[in-house]
Amino acid sequence: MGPALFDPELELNFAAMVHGGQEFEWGEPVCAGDEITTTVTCSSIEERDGKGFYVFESVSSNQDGAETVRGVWTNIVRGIS
Amino acid sequence: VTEFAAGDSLPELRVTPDAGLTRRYAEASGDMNPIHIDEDFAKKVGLPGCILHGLWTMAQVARAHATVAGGDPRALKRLSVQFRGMGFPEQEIVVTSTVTAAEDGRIVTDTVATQGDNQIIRNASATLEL
Repeated sequence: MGPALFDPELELNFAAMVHGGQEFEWGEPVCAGDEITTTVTCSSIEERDGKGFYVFESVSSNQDGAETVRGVWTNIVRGIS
Repeated sequence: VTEFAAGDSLPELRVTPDAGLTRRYAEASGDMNPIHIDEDFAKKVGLPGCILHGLWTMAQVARAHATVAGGDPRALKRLSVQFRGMGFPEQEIVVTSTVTAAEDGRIVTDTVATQGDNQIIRNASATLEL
């Protein structure tokens, strides 16, 4: 998630950011020694009540191409306007 | 494995994060945000003190469900949560789940996690395969 959250294009204000919601859907279990590849998309940015809602979607797969977990991450930045 | 029907409660889970928990979780998860591990920084940005990582708190909800499945974490297929209040170290967390649907060995639950009167997770929805 790091590279997506820290993408300078997003200009996320970390000091004012809280984790608002999280969803995970699990597939294959992850074992020690696995190599996991995660792709993250910023799926929406919205402003509501002076707060910024940044939603990211992640998909992780193991070295055999099997999906291990899919996540939806909602981050809220307070005092955006 | 116990059979559940809509309206049933899952066994309650109680856990008290110790003072060093947030640092250990920061190192394990890679989330080194100082609001979790630096008391002075947390106070400087207007928080009462270090706050728990939401994902650690979420993991306690996952644990309450895996326990029902005899400790098998693969039984938990899906979990979504809303983080509402801030969680703090050294205060007991109570995880309370109610079954909202049960069909063909799959149950769906609704969960809250509280510290005293403070709901730190609510509207959590889990799908568990038993």
